[in-house]
Amino acid sequence: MNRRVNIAELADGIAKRATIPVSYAEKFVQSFFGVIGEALVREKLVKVKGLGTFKLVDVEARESVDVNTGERILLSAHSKVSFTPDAGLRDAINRPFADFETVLLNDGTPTELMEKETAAEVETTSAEAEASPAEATAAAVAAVAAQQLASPVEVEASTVETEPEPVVAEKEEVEAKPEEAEATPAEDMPAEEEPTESAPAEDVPAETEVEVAPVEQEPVEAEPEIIDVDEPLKTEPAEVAEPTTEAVADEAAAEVEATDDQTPETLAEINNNESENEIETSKTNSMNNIIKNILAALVCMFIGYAICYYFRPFELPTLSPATQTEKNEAPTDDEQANDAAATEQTEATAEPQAAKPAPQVKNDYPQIEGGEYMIVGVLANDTMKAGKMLTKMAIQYYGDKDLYTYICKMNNIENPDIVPLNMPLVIPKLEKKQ
Amino acid sequence: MNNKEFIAALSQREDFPMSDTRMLVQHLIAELTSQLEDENVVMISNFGSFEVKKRLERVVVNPGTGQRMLVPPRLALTFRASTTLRDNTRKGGDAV
Repeated sequence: MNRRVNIAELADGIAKRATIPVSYAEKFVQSFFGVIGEALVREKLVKVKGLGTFKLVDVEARESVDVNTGERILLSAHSKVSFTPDAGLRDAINRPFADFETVLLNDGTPTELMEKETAAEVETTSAEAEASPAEATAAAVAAVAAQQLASPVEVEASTVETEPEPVVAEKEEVEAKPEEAEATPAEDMPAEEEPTESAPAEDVPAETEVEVAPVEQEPVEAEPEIIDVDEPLKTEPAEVAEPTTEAVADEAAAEVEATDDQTPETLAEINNNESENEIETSKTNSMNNIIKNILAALVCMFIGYAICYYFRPFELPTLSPATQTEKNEAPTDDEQANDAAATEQTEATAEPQAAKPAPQVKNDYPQIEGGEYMIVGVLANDTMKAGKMLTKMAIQYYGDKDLYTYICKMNNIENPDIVPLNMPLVIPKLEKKQ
Repeated sequence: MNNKEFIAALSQREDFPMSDTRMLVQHLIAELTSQLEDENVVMISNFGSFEVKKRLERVVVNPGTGQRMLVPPRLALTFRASTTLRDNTRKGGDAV
């Protein structure tokens, strides 16, 4: 891995593959690339099957800047070697990543950061981890809770929808009442979302009871007794037992009705059990929801603060100084400091943008644009004497002759080859740019 | 210069028959490929070096349709000409 392989090593491998002496193989490798090089100079294009295409590409002359001295340099026109690997070789090299394909991104996908996606994944996985100790119903509850978080309007709608149905259930049968009564006060306690969570659970028995209701029209007289007994007792065995006694007393239709009664009751019991589970899980969920709400509130506050902070400077120039001072009193210390700076800037210059370059050029020394160093002060004073050269002085002071350009800049020397004798020179102090 | 002409020039220089030269070229490329697959840097003196470099994934935008595509990461073979080859070709380029 990442080893350097030279011709000898390459020749070794070839000699093994082709069963030829290593010396031949080495000579062959050298002439192989030698021929490519010569043909490249001669014909500007060499195609080798299985390897690729070597090509000479012309590069036009262009101007550049010496990084060290900031001098402008003219790079002359030349040609450079370009190599395009063969499709087979390219795929062989890329084999580890061959499974990846270019993916079309949807409009909603955030491009700037993949970290956000990973964070979201972590959140969902943590939510799943919370749900895992409870059963599948708990997962469903979590899903419902997530939906509620996403759309509070829907939650309101669902509560509105569920409200009339219990009323209908109360009208048709009073049996549904105790279960709902048991469910709703207990579930109202832990969190706000609970009514909607319990609502679908309650809907199921209510609807079945509605379906049962027309069948029960005949033995209506028998029912109030059951209801009277059911309400005080509320115990499961009693509920199961009484419909059976009812079945003995009444007709066969009543038996069917009794079994129909049982099923919603058992369903309701199951729902009650489920609702207990829901309460347990909903406690954890409610805690999570509270935390999430707090976090959301904090984020909103932060965003609001940020918006205020970013929009304020643009408003400042348009405002009169009096209103500025009034505004300055309100914000926090940092903002006051910024405002004070801003007012100073506005006093100094009309536009705040113009004030920005000012601190950068706090020293009045001339600078070389694009140079690696910045002139920050005076290192020494010197005078030009016979036999002295700017480059020698640069070596003396900086250890680099190329930096004479900074001495020229400092002393406004336009032509470094012509410097009058006994000219006083200021040697600038240089500091490397960040 | 295409592959055929290249093999011919090489066989003439090496004084090998064409068929043997073709076979040796195939062996050479196979060896070169296997070295590069191990992510080794193959340095050929007086010619240049072959190196496998990893290119990171990136998002590109189709200017016509505005569609954004995520281009996957890939391993790319790069060639860097040695100074001798660069000087030779530079001269050749100037001559034209």
